[in-house]
Amino acid sequence: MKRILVACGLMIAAIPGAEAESVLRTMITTDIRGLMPGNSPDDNTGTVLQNVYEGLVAWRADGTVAPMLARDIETSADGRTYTFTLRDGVRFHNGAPLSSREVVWTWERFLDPKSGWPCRTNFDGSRQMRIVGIEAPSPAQVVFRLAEPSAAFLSMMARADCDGTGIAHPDSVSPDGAWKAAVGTGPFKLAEWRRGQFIELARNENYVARSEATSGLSGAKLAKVDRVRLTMIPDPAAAKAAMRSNDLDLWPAIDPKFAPELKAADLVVVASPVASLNTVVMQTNDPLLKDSRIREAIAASLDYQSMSDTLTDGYAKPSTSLVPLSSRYFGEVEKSGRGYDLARAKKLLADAGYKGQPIKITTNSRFAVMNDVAVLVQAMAQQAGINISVEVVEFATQLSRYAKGDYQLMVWNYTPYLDPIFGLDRFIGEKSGQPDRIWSNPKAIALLAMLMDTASPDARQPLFDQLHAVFMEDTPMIVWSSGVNVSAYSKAVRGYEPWPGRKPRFWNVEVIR
Amino acid sequence: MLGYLARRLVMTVPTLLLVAIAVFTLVRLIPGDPVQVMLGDAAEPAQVAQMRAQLGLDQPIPLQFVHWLAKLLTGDFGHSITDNMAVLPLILERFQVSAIIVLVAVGLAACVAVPAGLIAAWRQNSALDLAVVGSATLLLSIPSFWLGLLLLLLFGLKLKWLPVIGYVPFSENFWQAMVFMLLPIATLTMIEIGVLTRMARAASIEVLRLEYVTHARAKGVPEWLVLGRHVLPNAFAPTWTLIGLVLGHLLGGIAVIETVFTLPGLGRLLVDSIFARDYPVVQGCLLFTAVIYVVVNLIVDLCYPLFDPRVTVA
Repeated sequence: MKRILVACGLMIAAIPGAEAESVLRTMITTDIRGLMPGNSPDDNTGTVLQNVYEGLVAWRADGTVAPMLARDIETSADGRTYTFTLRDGVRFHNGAPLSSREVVWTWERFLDPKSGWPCRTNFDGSRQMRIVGIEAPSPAQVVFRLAEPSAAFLSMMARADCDGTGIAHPDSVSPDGAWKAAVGTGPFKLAEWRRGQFIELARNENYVARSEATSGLSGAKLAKVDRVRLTMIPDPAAAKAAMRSNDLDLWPAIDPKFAPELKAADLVVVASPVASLNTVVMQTNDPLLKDSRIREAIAASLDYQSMSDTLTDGYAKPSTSLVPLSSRYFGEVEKSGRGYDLARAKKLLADAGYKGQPIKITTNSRFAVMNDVAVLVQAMAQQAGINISVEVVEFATQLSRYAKGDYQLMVWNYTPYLDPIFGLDRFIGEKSGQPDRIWSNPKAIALLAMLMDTASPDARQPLFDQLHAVFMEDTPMIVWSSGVNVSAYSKAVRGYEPWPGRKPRFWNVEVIR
Repeated sequence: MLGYLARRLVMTVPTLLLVAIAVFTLVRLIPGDPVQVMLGDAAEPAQVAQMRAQLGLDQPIPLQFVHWLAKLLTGDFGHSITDNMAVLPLILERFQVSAIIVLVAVGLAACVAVPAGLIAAWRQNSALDLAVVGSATLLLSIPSFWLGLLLLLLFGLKLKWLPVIGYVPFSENFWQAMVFMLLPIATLTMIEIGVLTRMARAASIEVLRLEYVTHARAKGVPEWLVLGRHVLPNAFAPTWTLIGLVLGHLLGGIAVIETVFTLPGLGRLLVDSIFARDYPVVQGCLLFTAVIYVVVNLIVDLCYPLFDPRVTVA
């Protein structure tokens, strides 16, 4: 039997060319949801597409915006017109040179209501900004005209949940209008997609890297491996076994609880804070929770250090600000967050006349950590005399209820945004028009609007500080920590780093066996 | 025979119609919005409404059902909400993977379980019987994901004989496919051996007590002939029915085993689609499973007279 198996193994190893290529073997948890940039907020899809497409601009690790496919960006004096001059020598994966034609084509496709592009509302006036025209005065120049000036326009273009509004070649779309291929300009091209099995990226041989140092999704992005194979592994136990048996080189997002075992197996485990917020949101329209004293009492009853230690094995540091720990705007003011104060919690409850009325915290069964958060909150709040019961639902059900505002307390983790204003934009706003908004405080809405109109980091910092102060006073939600990304990889992998954007980057990564 | 077949096929029509109604209704009763799942929590309400309209999800449910059924009658199972793939080719592609594992595993399990059950019954209450019944009960009690993980850890991680993850279709490379399929097939085989052995043993005990067996023995027929010619065919009939039920059940997807061994089978497709609330795929998978169940059981019934001459399919 053993001989047969060894023979089979040798046959696999004897595939022509298998030894000659360097391959990074990594994983995603489920299949991707399409090839159009920005068409799905799903992390697995974004992981693949951010290595394939590039936009005119990209986020640096600190959330500032850098040019990517653009060489220069000029803004008109009235702030309504942005002129992008494209880099020379950039080619798509099909060999075609990048020109303004493809940029205009991609953006017209994005903004066409028929395309159903989820990020369209960022640019069509539904929110803060509206693009009124995109023109190509020359093959190397593209002009975007806005209805009103917007300091957040470039950052909005760089949003990672919209896959950096990556520019695609029209060959990506079939004659019937379906997005059938991923023809971008990124350091990797899509080589093969076997649904339900794996995705393989191949090095883009024609890639011309930028000269600046790599930072976030910007700068020099060199494909140092010939191929990246992303196997779809839904089961963490199988992924752990694959790492330990050397069938996998990189597991980008491990459960921190696996870290000791993986370290013991001679694997490297590294962590990075992520620009996201781990929260418990509160329904401020609820008859009980509309009293800010009760909301604050719940917040004061939680031991944040203990929560971080227990839930992330100490990889996440406690942080209670609405500005993520990894952000450049997480300053001294943001550090002065909330603390565990049982006596204050009890006093607030007494002042509010709380008599043990039941409060329900909703969570889901799919993400174990979110379930654990609910259980911990229940247990800790009980110490202050707060009667919380845990309601566990399936994630899709929870998402639907989040969108409708149908909860009292809900465990919720937000997507990372390197520019924190977009994270804030997810939960600050009028509930009357958008039931998914958490915080409708007029001061907060006004401060967010000011942040959206402010590009300078120095000018933004005091606004974030003010917003933090209002947040602490109002307590519309509990932030228990910023996100954390723990990755494991074999010692053959060099140059890989987890980062605040969470989705793994395969450029500048080598595999030396 | 043909008349029987025609009658059975006609009878499947109301069955499948009821299944279609149940599937369509139940899928929509599950809380959660497929559009919300697809667009995420950052989607504007207007955007969600627009996409719901595009997908026809804003129409009354009976109207949605009529549209779905009308397409279904032309062989069009619709398109996935998640990635716009045609549902039927997707199901057929995934079904191949599940079908190979299930057919091989159940076939192997039957080859082991039927003789084991027969021998255990023949030596009822002996140490051998105890060992067979004990092993069958143990295998039956082990959850498939746990057994799968144990095998994975032993053969993949400890002994390093087999790969831990991956899949290669048989059409591409037979030997590589075998390497990847060994553990999932072994896992399912072991589980099903437990199920089938108990049935084979129980049926054999019943037959061994019948008068014609005593009569055969009294006539001096050798024991191997008594078991092989007189007991086995009669005892196999109920086991065959069970095999049919097991096949019908498993062909609908072995989600747990497919998840543990990262196989792109029908079960995983169904589970992923339920999580994504991808209505057309969930409906398609469930209806396809129902059809498979009906077809397998029809085949089982048609084969029944081969094992039990008392049964006719006229």
